Amino acid sequence: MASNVILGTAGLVKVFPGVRALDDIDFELREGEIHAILGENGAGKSTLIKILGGVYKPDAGQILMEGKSIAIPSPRAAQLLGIRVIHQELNLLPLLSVAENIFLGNLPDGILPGSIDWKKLRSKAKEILEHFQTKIDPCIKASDLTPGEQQLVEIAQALTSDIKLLIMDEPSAALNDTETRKLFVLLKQMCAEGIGIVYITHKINEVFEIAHRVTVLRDGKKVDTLNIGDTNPSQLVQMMVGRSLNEMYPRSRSEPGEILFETRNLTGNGIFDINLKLRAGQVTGIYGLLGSGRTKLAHTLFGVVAASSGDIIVNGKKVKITSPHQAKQNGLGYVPAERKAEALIMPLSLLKNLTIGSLAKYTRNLFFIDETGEKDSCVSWMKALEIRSPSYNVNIGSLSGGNQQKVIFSRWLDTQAKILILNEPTRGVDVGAKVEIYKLIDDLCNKGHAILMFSSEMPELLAIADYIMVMKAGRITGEFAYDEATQEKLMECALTDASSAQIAYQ
Amino acid sequence: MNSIGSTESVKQTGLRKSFGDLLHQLVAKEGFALFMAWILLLIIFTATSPYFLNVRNLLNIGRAVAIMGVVSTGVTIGLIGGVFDLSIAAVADLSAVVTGLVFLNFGFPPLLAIFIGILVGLVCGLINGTLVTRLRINPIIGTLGTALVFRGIAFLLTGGTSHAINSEGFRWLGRQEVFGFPSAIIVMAVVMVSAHIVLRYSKFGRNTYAIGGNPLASRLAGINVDRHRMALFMVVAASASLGGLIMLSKIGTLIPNANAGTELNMISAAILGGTALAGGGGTIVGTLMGVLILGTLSNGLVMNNVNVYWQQIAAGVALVVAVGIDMLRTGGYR
Repeated sequence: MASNVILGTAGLVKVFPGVRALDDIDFELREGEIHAILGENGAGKSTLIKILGGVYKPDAGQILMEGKSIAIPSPRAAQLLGIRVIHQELNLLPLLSVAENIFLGNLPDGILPGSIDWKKLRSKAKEILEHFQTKIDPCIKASDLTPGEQQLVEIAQALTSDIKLLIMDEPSAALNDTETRKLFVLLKQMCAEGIGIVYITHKINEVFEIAHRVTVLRDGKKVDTLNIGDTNPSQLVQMMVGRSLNEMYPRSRSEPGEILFETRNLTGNGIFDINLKLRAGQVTGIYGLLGSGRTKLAHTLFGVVAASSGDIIVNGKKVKITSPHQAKQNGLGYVPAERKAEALIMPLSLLKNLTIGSLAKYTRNLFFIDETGEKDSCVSWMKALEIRSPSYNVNIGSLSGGNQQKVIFSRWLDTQAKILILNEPTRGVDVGAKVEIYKLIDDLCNKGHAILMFSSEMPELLAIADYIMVMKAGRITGEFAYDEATQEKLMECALTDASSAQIAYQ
Repeated sequence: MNSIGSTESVKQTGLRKSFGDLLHQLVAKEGFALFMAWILLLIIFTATSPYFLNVRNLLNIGRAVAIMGVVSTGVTIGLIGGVFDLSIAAVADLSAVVTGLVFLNFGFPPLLAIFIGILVGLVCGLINGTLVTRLRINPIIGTLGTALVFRGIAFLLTGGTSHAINSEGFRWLGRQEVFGFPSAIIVMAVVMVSAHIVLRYSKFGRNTYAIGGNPLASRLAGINVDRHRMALFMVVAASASLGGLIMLSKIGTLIPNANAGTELNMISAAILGGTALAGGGGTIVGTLMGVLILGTLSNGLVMNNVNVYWQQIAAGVALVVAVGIDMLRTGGYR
């Protein structure tokens, strides 16, 4: 392995309102190296690559390329420096062909000024794709590709320009096993050609499979950089979460109670034959990869989209839930996955965000809001859930992710919701707040709430849920009790092999 | 002596500091900049025209802006909740036409005729709301379409001609004086104060801000967003028909296009007053300021014998400048 440093950072700092996203990061990438960056959500991985990709400007510190301090003011500048970033959400233009996507911004000229030499375009695209040993037809539209193929096309696009380093942000999140395998082969081939690769992930097993070195980030700080031969998985976990597993996932539950919520053969909106039983004092977990139908199921249960057939039974009575309003009246609460888009009402204060679901309770004389009663409830929830804020009057946007999430929990607790549907409840919150949310979930169980928790983070689900179901292509493909669930079993049920998914959709 | 002097100076700095704080709070308050702009206009016009600053002229300004004040109040409530309505002028005219015709042709008593006019407005709002919340038609397109339809109906009903309405029963809305005070201003004040109370203190008002701020999150919080938006369309249309009826009372003549072209003024006043076009923000106090600035501008220019076409230009510039300053403050349009 050559040891020329392609790119380095020294003392990199990036501050966002209320959070130090990156704090004094020293990092280096050598030629021909696959360097994994490992960290929980919110550890600073994305911020780091956004700085390297020219999206954010650092507040302090230097970026060094071949020993010289450089600035990367824009994504275009990053490209000119030979830095390419492949984002988690893919950026192909869905209506253009594969070939056009690959050579976008670099299309071969035809005879007339402004025209394109389509023949040359196609043959060049074909050549590149063959280099990857894939059978993708360069003439089909990008929207017709599987996620794995789309990713290959993005990498192909990156290789058409002269690149020195490739940054991949959780590339395996949307891929199945075989696709991931293919990607690894390709990455190894590229690093053998001298390209440096930064591989962002929170999956520890992947690190040991392909990386030469690993840097662990936690809460915006670098924990350490290690050669892969000098470490082991449990050490990396310890470094990532910064505490032992028992501290991380508090669990003090007693026996589950009666069934509060049940579905029978719920179907529609891309989900099929869902049978759930949620018990008081129990967390039911649902694991699924991107596109497994998790959010569709959550939305169907909460009435965002009505089911086309099947029954929903609340407290033993069959009910109709065709809108979130009805769901609320039946004692359901929903903490959505996309906090900013789906939960927070940005221009409003903490207090108004907290009580927006339960205003009926505070209405006096059919009209006026009892503002004193409202404030009292808000303050007591802030105390009970340890919401850290200078006042209940601050704009909700000024709180940290963890505190925002607690406000959304409080919103539902204030409506007296007994059945809580949590969709990725710890997304975008720092590790400390995660632990508090796990503890809150545990407390709610002890108070007799029934909880359904959707998550794509296997470790938290394995530790928190009393019962785990796995979703794939809109169906439940596996169910496990707490003590029989393992990462391998869940993964096996969750992985979509392309052919069976196709059948399911037809 | 010495010690007394020093305590006094401490007191003074304390006082000055609290005054500074007060000023700071005032400046930070929404609508204060607009209030200062209005005062500035008053000063300029007082200096340039001897006929400007007297009770009669100020009441004239009030009388002139009353219709705009009533309709812009409805528009403000709508915009805060993310409801945009381009059919307001047509609704105002259609309501006035129906009121006038049931009075002239069927001999309905004026009060009942007015009630029917408002009812027509509510139905128009219901139609707009249905198009947008049920059929999911873009509100600009949908209400542009209904504006043409409503206006067409107004012309059909009158045969395109105007009719005189000479009844005492209509005077009270827009032409009466109560202790020397124009009734139209009282109507505007009642509408604005009620709207302020609803927005500030009621569940309906709170939900309006929430829905305009983030419709999806509001829906997921269990608010019945579609039903609320439907109600907002009806509020906007009802305020428009009340505006149309004040106009009818004021001019004493039934004209099927009396309010044509005023919809953009009504929306301008709300936006000038700081209402967010994208929803979620705005106050009635701000809209009052917007209405007063536009009214004062137009009156003051007349008093200074400025060509009437310049008034439009001045109003347009005022709108763009006010919104421009606000955008600079908040980060702007992306």
